[in-house]
Amino acid sequence: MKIISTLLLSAVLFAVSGAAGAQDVRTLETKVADLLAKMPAKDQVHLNALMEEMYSFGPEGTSLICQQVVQAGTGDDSRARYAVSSLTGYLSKGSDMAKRKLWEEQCLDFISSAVSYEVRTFFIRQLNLIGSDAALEVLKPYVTHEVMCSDAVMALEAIGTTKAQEMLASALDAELCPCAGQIMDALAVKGYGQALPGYIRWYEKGSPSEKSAALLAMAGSGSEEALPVLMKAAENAGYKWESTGAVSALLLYARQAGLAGEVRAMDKITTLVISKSSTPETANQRLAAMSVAVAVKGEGALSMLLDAINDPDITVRGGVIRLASQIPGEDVTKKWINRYGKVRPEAKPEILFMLGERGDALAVPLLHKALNEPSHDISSEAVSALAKIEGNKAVDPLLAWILKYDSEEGHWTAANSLMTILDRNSIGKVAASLPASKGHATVTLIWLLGWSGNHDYFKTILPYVESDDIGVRAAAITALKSVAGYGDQEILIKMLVTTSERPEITEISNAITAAASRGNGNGGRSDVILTALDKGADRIKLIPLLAVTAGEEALERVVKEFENGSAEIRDVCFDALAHWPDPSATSALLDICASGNKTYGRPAFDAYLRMVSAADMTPERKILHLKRIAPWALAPDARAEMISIAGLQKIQPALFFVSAYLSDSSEVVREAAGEAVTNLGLPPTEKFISLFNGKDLSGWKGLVGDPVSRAAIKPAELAKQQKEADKRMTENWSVRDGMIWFTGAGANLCSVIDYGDFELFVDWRITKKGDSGIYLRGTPQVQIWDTSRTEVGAQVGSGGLYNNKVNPSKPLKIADNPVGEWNTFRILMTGEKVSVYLNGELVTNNVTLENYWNRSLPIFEKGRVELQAHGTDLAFRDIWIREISSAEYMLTPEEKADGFVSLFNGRNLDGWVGDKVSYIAEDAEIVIQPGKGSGGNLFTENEYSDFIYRFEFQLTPGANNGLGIRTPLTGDAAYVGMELQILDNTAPIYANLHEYQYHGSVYGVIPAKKDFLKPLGEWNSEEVIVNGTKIKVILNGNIIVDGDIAEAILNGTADKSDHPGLKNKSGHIGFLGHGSVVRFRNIRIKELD
Amino acid sequence: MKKDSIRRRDFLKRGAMTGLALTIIPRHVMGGQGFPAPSDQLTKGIIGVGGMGMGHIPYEGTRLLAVCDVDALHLKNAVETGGKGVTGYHDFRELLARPDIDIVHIATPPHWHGIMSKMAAEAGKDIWCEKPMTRTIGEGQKVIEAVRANGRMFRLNTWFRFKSQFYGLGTAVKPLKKVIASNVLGWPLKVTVSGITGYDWKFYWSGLTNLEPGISPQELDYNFWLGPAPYKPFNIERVHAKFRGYWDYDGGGLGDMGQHYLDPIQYLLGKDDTSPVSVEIDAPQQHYDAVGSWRRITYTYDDGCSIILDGENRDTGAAFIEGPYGKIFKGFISDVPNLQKLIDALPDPEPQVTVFSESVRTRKPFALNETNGHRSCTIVNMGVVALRLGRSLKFDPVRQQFIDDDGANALINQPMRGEWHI
Repeated sequence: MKIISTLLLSAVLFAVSGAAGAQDVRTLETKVADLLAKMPAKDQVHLNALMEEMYSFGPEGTSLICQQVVQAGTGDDSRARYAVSSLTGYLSKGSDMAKRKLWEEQCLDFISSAVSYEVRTFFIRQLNLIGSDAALEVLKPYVTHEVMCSDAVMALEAIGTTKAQEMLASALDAELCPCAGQIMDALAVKGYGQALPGYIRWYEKGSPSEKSAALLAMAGSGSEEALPVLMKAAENAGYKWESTGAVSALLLYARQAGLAGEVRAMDKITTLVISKSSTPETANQRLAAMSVAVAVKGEGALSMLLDAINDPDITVRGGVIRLASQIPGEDVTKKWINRYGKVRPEAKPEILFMLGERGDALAVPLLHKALNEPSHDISSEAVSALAKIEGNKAVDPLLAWILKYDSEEGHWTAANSLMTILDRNSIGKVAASLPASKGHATVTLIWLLGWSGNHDYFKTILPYVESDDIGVRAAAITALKSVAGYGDQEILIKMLVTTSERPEITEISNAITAAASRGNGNGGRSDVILTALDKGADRIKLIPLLAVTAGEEALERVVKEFENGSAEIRDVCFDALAHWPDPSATSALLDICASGNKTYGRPAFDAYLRMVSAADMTPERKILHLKRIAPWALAPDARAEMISIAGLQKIQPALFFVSAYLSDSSEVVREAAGEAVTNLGLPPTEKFISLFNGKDLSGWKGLVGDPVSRAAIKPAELAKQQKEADKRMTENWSVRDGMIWFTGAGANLCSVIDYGDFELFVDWRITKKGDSGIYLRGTPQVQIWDTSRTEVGAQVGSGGLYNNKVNPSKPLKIADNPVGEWNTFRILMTGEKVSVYLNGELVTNNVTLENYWNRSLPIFEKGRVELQAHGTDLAFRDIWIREISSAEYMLTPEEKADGFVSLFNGRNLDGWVGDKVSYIAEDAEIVIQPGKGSGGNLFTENEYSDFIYRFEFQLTPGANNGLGIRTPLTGDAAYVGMELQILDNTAPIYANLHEYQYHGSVYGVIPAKKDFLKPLGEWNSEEVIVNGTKIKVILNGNIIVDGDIAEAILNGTADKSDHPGLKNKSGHIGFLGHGSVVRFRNIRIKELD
Repeated sequence: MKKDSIRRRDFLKRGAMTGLALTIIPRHVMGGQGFPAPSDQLTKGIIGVGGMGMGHIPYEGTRLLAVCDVDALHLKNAVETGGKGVTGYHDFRELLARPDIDIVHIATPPHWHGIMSKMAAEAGKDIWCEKPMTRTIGEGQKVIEAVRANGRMFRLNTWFRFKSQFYGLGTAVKPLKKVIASNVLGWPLKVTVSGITGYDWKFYWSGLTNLEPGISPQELDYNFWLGPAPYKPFNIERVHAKFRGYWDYDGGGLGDMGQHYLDPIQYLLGKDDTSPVSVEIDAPQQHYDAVGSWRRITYTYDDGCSIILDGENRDTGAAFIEGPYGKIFKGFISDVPNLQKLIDALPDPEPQVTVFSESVRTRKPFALNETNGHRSCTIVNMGVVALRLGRSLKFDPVRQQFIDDDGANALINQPMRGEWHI
């Protein structure tokens, strides 16, 4: 493990640094381009490494990056902006001030030198995180600048030093200061006092928002000279709120003054504000003033609060209660207790609430006394507070209180409080109090017992169901469902039978079904109800319960009652079936539908659809259910309804199903089908070919021998035997009702066409003890069997590759529908690999299918699809196939004749070595996804010396990859072998590259012509001819390189670096990852002699 | 799980059955000196009537008097929807100046929440604010100060700590609170928020880089819309339904859903008065302007409790809450035997005020108010700061400052543009 993780780490570091550190021969421009190409970094490790690398470039390198920041809208400079702002963020931590300082200087240079305001602003904003006094001179001209002042002021506010504040303050004296308001806001935050004359001047001459800022700055300064202006402003505002915030500013001043020791000044102002804020709208200002006093004086402000608690305005009292919590201490609690007796009645519950919040046990005697106050408001607040302070100890007094007072509202409060303190032990006290209770107290206690959910209290509550007090009776009946156990069902059923009140029937029914669910395995959910029905209990009342408790027996019973019952019973039964909680009732509904019943037929159809639509099952199973009901979708609107449900199942079989209705006789149905096809949004059906037309066996033929023996038969003889086999086929296989039927004798049914890679859908149905299978490429088989046949091991389910010996032969799980019902297979075969989905569940995952006929060989490349005959009755339907094209077949006949071979099989990376994590085979393409791995190299397994290499590639913005030739498997291929650039050299980050770095160039050695790449996103085709020292590259039909290595190195290489790999005679060919997404396809090679 | 809420309903229903009115609001709330009689509805104004704000019109049946928006089309639409007696404003300060409005709803993008909440408190309004509470930790502290000083009621517009199924978790918070209070899971606890436990981090709220400068439509006062945010050229991607994708205004899916998901967790863990001490991120490099996605954010408290935001659903078997002795998975499935019985035997958590108009009338703080709301928003903002800077951070929950990190602390209180301040 250690070795692996070390290797991984070094792979990461290597990928980040781009080239082996010791011999990094790249030019600075290249390093910058390579760095930018890696942004955004995928994680912190990479980001930190990139930032260190970027910083290591020095000012020369970082300025190459800064230069790439262009005015918004004039080019894509995302990567440069990523780099600049991330380096700022990286250095902002402050752990290395020297580095931060150097980077700040660089940003300052670009503030001065950038052409557009937008770019200057971008660099100014870097200062918000890393700015210091060093930035002041550069920022100075911008503080009063019409466009850029707000960003300059923000930067100075962030810098926050005394000098920065002085610079802001001096701007207030400037003739023109468009950001004066913002400047004063910034100075207010710091409490900067030296600019008071400036503030006053701006207050006098400024706009409303400048006045507001000036007041704030004056208040923040705490300077005495500001006070008259602030007072005057508050007075002008009428001591009401207006948008300059004059009163708030005055109070802020008071607070600053108070905290600075000027308590008397503070007192004077707060008293003034309180006296002036006498209206309901300004009540909050009285509080704000008191809050200043509390902040400054602490307990010294208590008397003010004790006084204000008698305020007639509840919002003031509410605020006082909260302010009071900021002054803790037992002494303070005592003062509040003493104050309690002398305040207006409305304030009493509020004080009790506060005492509860304080949690001080000192208050308990007062609370006990308050419990007996005649005012409900007071006593119920005492109840809550007592529970908060005393916890479990309050259970007794609270229960006693409930028994003593008959107050519905109070009982509710008490119950709410009891719920927070009652536990397993103390709930018994509630039951014990019940006999002594009466009226609403009884209701409350019963409710609490119900809340406990304790089954012991069923018997306690039961007698109250008979109470003459209708409230008590209702409470008891309602509580039953919470406390009834499984064994209480019989009593409840008796109760249900005798009651006639609608609400009571509902409550008791709920109690029965709740109790039925509490069997814990000792009894079925419907057992007790079914027994009661057997004994003749009221069916009208009990059958609806079965629709909740459900189960097989319950379903049978309801179906039976439906068939034999009176009209009234039938209604109840149908309702139960239509609302059955699981899809098991679909069969019953289907039967009703199929019986042609005039009353229930259509409702049954609708209920069936509703049930299927809501069921928790795979879309494949839903489609099977829809196929089942489809023959009874007689009315056009019924068909349309069914189709719209199919349209929500986003799977291929849904498309097959709804497509059949595109030519329906009804326009409504055709429209619904069209809409469903659109909703499904799947690739068009045309790609799939139907292997079964629903009418006859065209497309199928009989079986002769097996693929091996068949190959040995002479053509004339084979034709004869085939004819006989076709004749036998028609005896054993037939078509009826849109299905292929097999009646239990004879041989397999074979597709006329051979298939290589394909996706196959087929529905199948077996009978009891049934056995069958689907042969792929003429070879057994994807297994189908009745899972009850444990003697042969069928309990594992269908869908496994039964005849495999080495590779897995059993399915991953059982996904079979019950015998006699239809199933859907989706079978995918590519190369030797098979995946099988049964009814939407993956049962075979990419498993090699072995060659049953000759185990020493791999599976045949092509062959028939066969439906297996195996001695029992079978049916198949809806068989669809899609051939999967493979890159193999992309070799043109000319190329084949010419001796080209394909290097990529379109399916997997067989024949390739290297980073198979980042590079994957997908849809006949090789895709490099650098996010998945380190983004490394992928090489051919074989080595090549002289050759013609053809491939197609597709680039993403700024993509960088390379084609390595004659290269070993390790080392930097551009030097130890040769690298032909694969690069989006249209990207702005590559604007500074040299010709010998363009796409197609032999990197660092032979330049390439630019401008022959197709637009991004389109596929390019490239041919590389390597013959001795000659290299020719043809891109999209244009020769972009035609050179000779021997000549190119005569006077040293273009990049002045050592390229020992130029002397290699042969080596691997490979794709060299540089961290970008690139796709390749159709890779062919011809070796030259 | 559903038991308690159902029973509470039963209790009410019982009242209906017997024809006796049963109310949960104490009588002293219902009328009397200094506050409106029950027939007098509370009144409200809504600031920001784009997508979110329109949803506030029907809240709690309070009477709508005013709406405000800097987009004339939004405003026109809201005035029409509001009907007779609803006045439209362009500048929210005019709305705040109206003495007849009791409650101000703030449904603007988050970069306005702090400024508006503070001004509304000073103007004597009670406040119903959209999540996330504030865009920075510093703004949250200012809102607390202003709301407390002015004796205002504040509610944040998320609710899972006191009602409803907790998103895709398949349970309400209350039974979880009871389990945690019983200590049956042991301590410390690890909470995982991911698709596995029923949540969606909504990475589609990612922004675009390299936006082309454009011209704002005539109906939109873009300068006012930006308000305190740095000026950036207009692009339709920045505003209205897209603003969450840009750090200047919000924080992507984390900003959108973070407080919904994290607030109940703070409540469950009993952390309403504190914050994590560290935030660790696993994410790609973030753009300075456009919000990107992330893979994982881990918060740790000083007692070892942790919250994991698993953005790529990597922990496939994750429990929602895991302690040393037990786990609770999505759907309230647990490896603790007889959990339901155990809960039944436990007392309920402290009752909370869960109807805002009740808070407004009784002056008892709402269940989710400025204080605990600020703490859960701080979790969101800690994540945002760490993502923006591309590094894990340490936090002092008492001083509410990051430890040994100037850059992170610079993002706690950010300078504001133009006339705006908090």
